[in-house]
Amino acid sequence: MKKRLAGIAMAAALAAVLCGCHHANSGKEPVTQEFYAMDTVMQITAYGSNAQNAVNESVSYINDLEADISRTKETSDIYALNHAEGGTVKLSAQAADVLQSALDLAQETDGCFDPTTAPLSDLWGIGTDHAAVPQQEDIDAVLPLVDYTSVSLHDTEAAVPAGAEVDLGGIGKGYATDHVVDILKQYDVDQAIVSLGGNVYALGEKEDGTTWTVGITDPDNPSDYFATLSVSDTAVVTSGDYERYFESDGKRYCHIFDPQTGYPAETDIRSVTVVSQDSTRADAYSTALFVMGYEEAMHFCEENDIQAIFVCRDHTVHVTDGLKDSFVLNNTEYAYDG
Amino acid sequence: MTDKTRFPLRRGDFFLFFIIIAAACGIWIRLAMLQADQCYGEIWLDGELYQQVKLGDTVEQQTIRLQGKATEVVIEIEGTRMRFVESQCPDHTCEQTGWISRVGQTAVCLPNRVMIQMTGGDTEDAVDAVVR
Repeated sequence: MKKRLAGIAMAAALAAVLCGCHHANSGKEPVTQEFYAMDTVMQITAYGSNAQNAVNESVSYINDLEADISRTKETSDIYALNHAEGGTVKLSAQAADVLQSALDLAQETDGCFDPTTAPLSDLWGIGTDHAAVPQQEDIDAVLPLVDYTSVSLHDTEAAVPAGAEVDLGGIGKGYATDHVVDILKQYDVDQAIVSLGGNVYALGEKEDGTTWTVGITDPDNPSDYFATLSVSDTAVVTSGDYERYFESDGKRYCHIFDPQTGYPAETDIRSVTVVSQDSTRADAYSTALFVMGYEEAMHFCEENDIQAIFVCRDHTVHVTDGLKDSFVLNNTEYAYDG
Repeated sequence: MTDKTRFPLRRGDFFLFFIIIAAACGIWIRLAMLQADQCYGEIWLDGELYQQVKLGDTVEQQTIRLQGKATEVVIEIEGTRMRFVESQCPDHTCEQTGWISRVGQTAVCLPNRVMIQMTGGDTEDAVDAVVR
């Protein structure tokens, strides 16, 4: 009788273990950290035994980077550069590296991405409560200050003309993403989703071996996504006219400036999403392609082997060949010929 | 020594074992399904989880007020969706964002450092992140 009871008890214990296994077998619990830096919200979700340490170091890295390259923090190297009245400033190696990347990408995109549009941002006030269309003479007055070729950088010694300003916000999040991914890898984290202000990097694959699914914001309804991409080990970055904007006389003015006209870029594009293993480049390219307009941008992508998704004002969606297999449209308001 | 003494379990015992294990499997599958299907609305304040609310078709409308980093923020939850209703921040971008209802969607009030997001719900259209 005792043995029978022992047998039943063992079966019950096995059943209890089976139920208890529900949580234990549901996989490695991720570490998720949400934080605010670079004037935006950031979120890192990482898997693995070292994930917490990796995330902590990533947050610390981003804060250090911001302290170096912020345009508004008075203690930053870039603030010092912008307020040196044309004098030469010695930058940290990191700030110099970001600036060099920005200048290289400006040259590569023939100035469509330009890290010196800050005087225009200040003039128009987009993203502030005093955004307004300025007088043409005011635009004409600041336009000569917008010229990335006027920035000099030799090793870590930099200078900008008096009145001109460098703003590395255009690639700052992309640059940070690349380095966060390096940190995660150093800690043997091989699965993570990094979202720095909407710039996404999908590291590795999900636990079930499938790729990550990244939604692409719907320009008509920015709280939702109109399509998805299946990706792994790649950055996904979008620039769109819905991010920061104001409307005047029924016309929308977005935060992305055309360095040639001094006006917010106004092309046939609503948003551009760039997919690349290099998040810094993706960040700059998405801005540059938006400024170029669809025809020129698609040509630029073909010439430089850039993978991108374009949403145009006429609600057509265009996807470069390399993304057609991973792109899924799930909003019938848009027309996709892929 | 007889077979009976070497092996004390009877046929009925195996039936009992089967019932116990089957019940356990049933509970396990049900738990897994419940957890996989359940959607949550999460409110994050300055990087910390402030509140998690179970969402579902039967969830009645409710309003949650919280003090953000700058001003008070009002969030509405109704059924399977949630949104920012009111914030005294300068840009009111969060109010313009509208309802979020699909897993992976987020909305943020940057000046108040309040974020709302949809989690859980192992549905086909769930995403791991949204690029914007």
